[in-house]
Amino acid sequence: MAERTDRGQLATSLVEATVGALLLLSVVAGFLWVPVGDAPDARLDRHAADALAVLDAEPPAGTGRSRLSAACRSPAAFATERTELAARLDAVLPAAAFGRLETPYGAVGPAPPAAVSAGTATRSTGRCVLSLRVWVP
Amino acid sequence: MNASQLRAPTDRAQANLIGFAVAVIVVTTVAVVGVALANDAVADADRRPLATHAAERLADHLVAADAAHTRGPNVLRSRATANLTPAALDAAVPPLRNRSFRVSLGTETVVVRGHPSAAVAGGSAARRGARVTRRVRIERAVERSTRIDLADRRAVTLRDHAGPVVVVVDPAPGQSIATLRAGDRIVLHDPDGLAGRYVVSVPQTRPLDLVFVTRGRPVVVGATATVTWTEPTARTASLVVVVGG
Repeated sequence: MAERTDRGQLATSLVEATVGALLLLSVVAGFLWVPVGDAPDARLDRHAADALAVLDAEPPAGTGRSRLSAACRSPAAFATERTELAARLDAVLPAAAFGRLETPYGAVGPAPPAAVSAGTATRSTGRCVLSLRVWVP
Repeated sequence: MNASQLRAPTDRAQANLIGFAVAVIVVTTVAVVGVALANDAVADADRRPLATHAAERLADHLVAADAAHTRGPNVLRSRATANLTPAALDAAVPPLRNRSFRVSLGTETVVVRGHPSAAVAGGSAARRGARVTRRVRIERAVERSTRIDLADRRAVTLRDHAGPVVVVVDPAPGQSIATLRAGDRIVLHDPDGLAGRYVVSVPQTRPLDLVFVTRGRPVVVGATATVTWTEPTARTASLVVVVGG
């Protein structure tokens, strides 16, 4: 009877100590698993925004204010811009990155794979909104 | 009360003390180790290296649309960019003060102060250098001018242009140039006939057709117009910012 009581008391203290330790560790874990530094997505977002800004400053293949606003104007204008837009898109993105530019009249560039994290940027050119997705395979 | 009734509380109290001692040791150890780990983690990660912060702020300033050396977002004026000084960048980007840094476009260095270490890895968190790469368009303004004889030519096509266009109409007696049309817009109109120098804001459309429109009568031989505009020659380059620790 006495032994059982002793074990019961000891075990209760240790259980309490374990619960306390777990509580402390859970707080510590909050510090240990903080996302560190620049997320790769943020860098891809920046590449995408830079690429759109540079393309929006370039003269179009056809007529218009810029490549992007010309590609946004009509299906025919998009068809005119398409080839050069694809080439310029490759040139303004970092060598390792791929991009897909989506306009209301069609898209330029390869479709991104499903299981990859991509950076995105959008830009409105007055007539419509274009979005660019950039990813590194 | 008999002896056996007294014994049990004494035993429990003793056992409780040992258990309590062990529990205190366990909890104290975990707390000390936990605080040490958390402190290390915070020192390493949560404090973003100041060099990285300075490099990102400097890169943001260099491509900002409202900076003095840019013509738009990510569009740099070649000459104004070449004239950037460390003092001007310090004033615009306070975190950069007292740090070595280098700004380069492609392979050419634009501004440099000290010898920033490009090595991003190595060293403690506070001493680490940082590097940021952006993509920019660099425009060099080239003044273009063309002079046309209004008797046989009425239109000028500007392949690319930036800023206002200067038009000088040199009239001949009896001429009747009344209107200048830029693209689909009328930018100059005088029913008595255009004469002299005009600075015209034109639409941003590229290419842009400037057409002189007569009113009925043909233009007298000898009337000329001179059109002067700025044509940007551009290249795309990587803007690399390295800031030392």
